[in-house]
Amino acid sequence: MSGDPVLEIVGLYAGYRNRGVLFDVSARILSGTITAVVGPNGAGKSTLLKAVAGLAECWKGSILFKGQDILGSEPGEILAMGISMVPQGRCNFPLMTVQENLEMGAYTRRDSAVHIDLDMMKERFPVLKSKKALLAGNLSGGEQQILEMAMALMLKPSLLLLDEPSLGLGPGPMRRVFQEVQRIAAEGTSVIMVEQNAKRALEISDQALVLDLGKVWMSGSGQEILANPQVKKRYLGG
Amino acid sequence: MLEIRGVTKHFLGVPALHDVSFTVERGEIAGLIGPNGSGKTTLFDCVTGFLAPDAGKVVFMDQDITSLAPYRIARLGLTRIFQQIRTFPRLTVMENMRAAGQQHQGLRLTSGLLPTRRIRDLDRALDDQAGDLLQSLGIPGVADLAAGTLSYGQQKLLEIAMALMAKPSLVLLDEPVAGVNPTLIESIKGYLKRLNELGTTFLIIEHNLQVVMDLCHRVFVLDSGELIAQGPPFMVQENEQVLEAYFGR
Repeated sequence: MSGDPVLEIVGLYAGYRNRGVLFDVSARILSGTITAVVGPNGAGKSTLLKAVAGLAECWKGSILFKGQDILGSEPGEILAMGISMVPQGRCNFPLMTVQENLEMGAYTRRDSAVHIDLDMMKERFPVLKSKKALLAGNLSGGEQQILEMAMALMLKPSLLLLDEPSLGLGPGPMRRVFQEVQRIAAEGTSVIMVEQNAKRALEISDQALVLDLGKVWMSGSGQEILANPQVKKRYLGG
Repeated sequence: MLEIRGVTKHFLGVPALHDVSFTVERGEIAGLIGPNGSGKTTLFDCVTGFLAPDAGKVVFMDQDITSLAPYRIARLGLTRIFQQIRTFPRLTVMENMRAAGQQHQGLRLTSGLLPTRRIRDLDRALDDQAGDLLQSLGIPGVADLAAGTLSYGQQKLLEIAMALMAKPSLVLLDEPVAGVNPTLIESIKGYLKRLNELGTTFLIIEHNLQVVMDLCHRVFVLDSGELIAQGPPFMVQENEQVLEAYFGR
């Protein structure tokens, strides 16, 4: 964990068309850390990720990525700068093989090292290596989530945005997905993760934001947020 | 109330369900659990007419509903929600709710076109019912927004509300609280319990085991398309085979 923020959001107002979703949201994400974003449904958690990825409209404020303001940049430009996102729900190509999906993850890359990275990615996630010839849609839910994270990692991002990585997973696969998230952060990629399995997410997070009605209701270390009685009552189900 | 007898389903020769039999009793909340890919959603599809089983029977309130069209099954009082969102994204939340309710009033097109007093009263009753449901499911503020602009979790709640608009006697819920905030999960649990006490029977697929343990009277466990255990939640929770299937892999 170094002291330089990889991402700094300052006074951000964002939403879609004429509907405001986020109001005056600020956050600092340090490199190599996991940040959990928790809060009620419709609080603006997914919109925060989309704003960072350039997929939501931003009216005011700034988003500094490694010191450079990326507000108003195209999603493709932001991707090329090193911010990858795994959207909510299944987002692979179910009728393509695991190998082809990984190649699709590197779609925007034009360098010759892609093949080396493909091999590395399969070494790193052995389940993807053993199932590389299978159709992605035939993998289990947990395996598909891991595939989708691996696709995002093919661009070697310094910041990975995960929207509910545990959605629809049973207890075993969920545990494994969270373990992978920890490993990704330990290897230096910062992670911002929206989660409704808030307790589990907070346990493995360095930092957390509680969003409610489009505003930061509270922020702090994962442990602080987890221990806060107000948070517990309002957002963690008591 | 619902009898599943020897239901078998293969996809291109791959067995998805093998000889699954169990019964859901009137007035209970039954849970259906099992690892990802164990056949839970396929079973829901077979029960609600979205898939025809290769073998076996589905009997709902003493009527054979095997392979009946989904809308017919819904009219008999058996509705469901889907794991993947299925709302009308460009209609407002209230319009979605009205659409879900109107299917079950038995109105003909001609009578629906004339703004008679009866229609107005029905519409008002429908709107009241819709408002109450949205309130109970924790999303009262979104009635006038297009459904497609809601977050995933809110659309999930809208789906539950839509399934309940038809006042069904049996509701199949496929992961109703996936993506829903923990505090709201608590109040939804309370609401489903109240509905159950008022007579609605539920069969619920859910990975959140706390919800299953708190809500369900009985639990059925599927693994690789076969029913491997059934019983009260505490018993199933201690079953070795279940622990292996669910947590081991």
